[in-house]
Amino acid sequence: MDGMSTVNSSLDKIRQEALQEVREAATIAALEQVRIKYLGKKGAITALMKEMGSLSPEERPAFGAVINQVKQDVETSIEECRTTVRRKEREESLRAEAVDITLPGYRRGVGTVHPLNRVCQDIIDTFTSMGFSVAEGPEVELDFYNFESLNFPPNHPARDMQDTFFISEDVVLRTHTSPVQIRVMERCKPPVKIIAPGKVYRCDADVTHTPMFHQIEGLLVDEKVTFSDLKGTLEFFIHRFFGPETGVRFRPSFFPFTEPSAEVDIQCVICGGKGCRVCKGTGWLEILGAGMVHPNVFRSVGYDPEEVTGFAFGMGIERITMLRYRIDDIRVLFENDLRFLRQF
Amino acid sequence: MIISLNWLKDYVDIQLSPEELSHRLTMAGLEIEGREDTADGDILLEVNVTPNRPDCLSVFGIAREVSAITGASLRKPEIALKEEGEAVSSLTRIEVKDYLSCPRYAARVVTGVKVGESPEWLRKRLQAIGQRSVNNVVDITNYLLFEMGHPTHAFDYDLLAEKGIVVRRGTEGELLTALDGREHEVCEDTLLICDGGNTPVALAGVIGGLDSSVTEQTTNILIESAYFHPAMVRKTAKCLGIKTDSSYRFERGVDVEGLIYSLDRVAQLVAEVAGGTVAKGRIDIYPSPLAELEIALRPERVNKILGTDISGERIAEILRNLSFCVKALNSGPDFFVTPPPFRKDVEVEIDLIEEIARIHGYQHIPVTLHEGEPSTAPVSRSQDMVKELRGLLTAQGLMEAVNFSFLNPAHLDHFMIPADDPLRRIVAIRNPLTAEQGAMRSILIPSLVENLRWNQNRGTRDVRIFEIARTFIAGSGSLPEETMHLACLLSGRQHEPHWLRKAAEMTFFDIKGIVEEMLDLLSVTNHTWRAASIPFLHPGMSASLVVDGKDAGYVGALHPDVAEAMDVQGPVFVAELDVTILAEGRTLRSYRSLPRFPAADRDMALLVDAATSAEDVLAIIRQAGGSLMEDVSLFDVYRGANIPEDKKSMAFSIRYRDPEKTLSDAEVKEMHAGILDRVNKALGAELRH
Repeated sequence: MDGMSTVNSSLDKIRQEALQEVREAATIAALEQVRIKYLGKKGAITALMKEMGSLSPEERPAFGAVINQVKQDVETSIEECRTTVRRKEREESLRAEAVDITLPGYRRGVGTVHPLNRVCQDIIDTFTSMGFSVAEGPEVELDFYNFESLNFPPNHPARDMQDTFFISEDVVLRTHTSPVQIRVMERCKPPVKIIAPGKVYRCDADVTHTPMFHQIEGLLVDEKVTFSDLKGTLEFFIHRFFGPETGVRFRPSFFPFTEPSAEVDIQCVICGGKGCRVCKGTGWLEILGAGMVHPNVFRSVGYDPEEVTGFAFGMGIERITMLRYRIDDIRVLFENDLRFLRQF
Repeated sequence: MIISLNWLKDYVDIQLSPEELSHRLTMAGLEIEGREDTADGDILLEVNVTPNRPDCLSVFGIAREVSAITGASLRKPEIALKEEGEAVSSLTRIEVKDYLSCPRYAARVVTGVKVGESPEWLRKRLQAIGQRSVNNVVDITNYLLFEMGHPTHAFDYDLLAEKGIVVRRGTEGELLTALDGREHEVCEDTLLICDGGNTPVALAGVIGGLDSSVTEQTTNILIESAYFHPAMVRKTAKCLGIKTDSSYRFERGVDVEGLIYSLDRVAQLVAEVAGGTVAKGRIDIYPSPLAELEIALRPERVNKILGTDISGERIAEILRNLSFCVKALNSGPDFFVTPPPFRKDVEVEIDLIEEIARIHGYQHIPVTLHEGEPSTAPVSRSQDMVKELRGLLTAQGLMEAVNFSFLNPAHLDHFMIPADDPLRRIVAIRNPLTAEQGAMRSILIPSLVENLRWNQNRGTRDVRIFEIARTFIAGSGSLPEETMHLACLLSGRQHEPHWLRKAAEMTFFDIKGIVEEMLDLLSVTNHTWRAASIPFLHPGMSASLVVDGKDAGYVGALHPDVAEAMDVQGPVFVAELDVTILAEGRTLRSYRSLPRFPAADRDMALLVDAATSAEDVLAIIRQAGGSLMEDVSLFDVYRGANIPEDKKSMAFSIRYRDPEKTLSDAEVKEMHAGILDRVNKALGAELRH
């Protein structure tokens, strides 16, 4: 048993040393060195295992059990330590990779849609969701479509409401999108349910007017269309667009191509109806013109006003855009200053 | 129009507060746009009278509306006229030569007036609404214009040749010095009031002449109260470029039946204020009185249009309050309605329906939604395309611009556009606001270049913008050709300077790349680029785009001469494309199944003549590659050291794939060698080692 005890004591010493070295290894590489030193082909523990052959058959099982235990202890210790060291190493590398997250990100520089078109598209989307389809017409238009068929007689003061650019005697820059109504009705049988966005022109330029601006026209013609339907449609739009709490009022007005005609006001979005500079103290903002299609307009396109009725409406995109974004000077919309465009 | 509340109360009692009155009038169609409280306790209201309501262009007219809305009774000043002395017919002779233009002409003569300062009440009333006091007689005619809405005129009777009046059309070249102190040249479209010697003394319905006007020296006057045809007055005013309170009312239509009342009231007030004797009787030339209208009104139709349920009794009541005469028709539910003479705007049933609606109150009309069949109108797809383009271009970093559709014709010269170029077939505006806005755009790029200048002048040098708008080219038809265009402009750096990436200057290939990306995303597959000769582009940096064989536009660098003429700092890269041709060139995408076998990628660096274009080489590679060559792309172009001066190196990456099996190295080598052989034979290209 003397031989055994010698072996045991040296084994114990090796075990102590190995575990000590494992604990001291700070890196994966150092750990590997320890493993090779003790468990590698020429390692101390491996060498002891080789000595097993020199032991008597009676001694072998006991020795085998002990040395296996030592081997296992060291392996387990190495494994545990490896996990710890790896975690430590990962933590260190993460620490080293840390960036100053307050530095600005890399932006590809996306552009912006012009606010007028953004608003126009929103309005189009609202009406298309109600079953209106988009129609278009020429911007350089015949006097016939721009005025005459819309019940503006020649030499009538109603034409003064719209200062006109002339190309020739009977060709004008359209002063409103309403001629699209006529062009569509000439081509299609009722029911007709359209909106027509586009550019319009009036020879007028000051702080509140530009010679070109944008309108959206709407037209619904069918059997039994009433003024109450007009109110319902526009209230739906206004509540969608400006919010469900927005007050709306319809008041009588005059357009040659509709009768009865209405101006539609919304409660001032700036002051909430209390009265301010924008609404001139009235608490109301005029945003739409509308009315029931005049029988003469139906006659000019070959519709029978006893068979069908309809309503039409039109609104200026500039005004709505200026209200939405609180823009106080219309000219800034057409300067295309990038410092302006970038804000949308 | 400004009206004084105190003045208004002369004709109607008002129990409402000014706020409530303003609201009620606004909701009945007379929008009150402003209010001013004066120092002496009066309140001035600014009324927006629509062109169909000339009857409301006076204090009395507004009073009439207030009475109809509130039910308060209306007080019309009574005429108490003392006529004396000679009969007017012996004092003057009036001849109307154009009854169509002047359906009625009435006049009175007042003798022995003392022209002088107006009494205080008269001056104050006129001053309150911004009118200058002239003298008592002129002020009275002015007063009546604002009181009753009927313009009258007083002539110095003794200054009228033969003491008479002739109403006739003007002849080209006749001159008249008017009360505005200016000498006006008359044209054939004007209606003139002349004296008995045929000398013009007034522009009918517009303005009086200076020579016959009432002054301190005047003792006898002739008062005119007439009805001139609205279109005639409009033509006269337009022809001479004058707009007066008088022409404004005549153009819209005054009350032909009420003009006698106005004449008498002027005569009475003149006698009261300036003394004098009103001659007996009046001249009244009215050969064919306008017939009264009878309009059939169906209450059922009223409710059908309005979506209401208003009773026949209520309808009749509303109309009677507005001074309409309402009679039942054959004891049925329908009515015959006669409008009062001052309501010439009411002619047909729908006009009556509007009256009923506005007095009933729009706020009392229900709110409903129409339910019906879908519209038969064709849907315009171009709006969708524009929306898509906007998305594609903003995603690539371009800002959307919106410019006026006007073209400065001088820019065509700056752009070196030749005389016979279609871009010169511009649509010119007859009455432009400025010469710079003299025509419609035949091309969009000049507007974007102006935007660039605007931004450069304000310190912004990196500009990436686009605009989608119509261009206009005059053609043979009465209307020009309108084509939707897309224009882009790039200048400055590719992106904002960033600490991670250096910002390089924009190049030709940035603008081309944007267009290529767009074509790809729109799935415009059948397109090619050609070297182009565009007058305003750099001759060596311009390319035209051909889609389905059609000219779809161009990209390029702005010619330095153009940049200089337009006063912008270069280089500037631009593109202008025809949106319709792009839309027509779109193809439907269809799915190709993903490959099951691996691809083999091989590079090929070729040494070619410096003049050889990339497309020349690519076309041959594509042709030579055959069906197993999946893709080829150019990844490097080099000129410089280690390469002969007249040569350049182009490196291509070629991908081979057999859909049915994995290609062997030998097979790939053979195909690659085959391609090399072909480019060598076709272009003399050699492999660069």
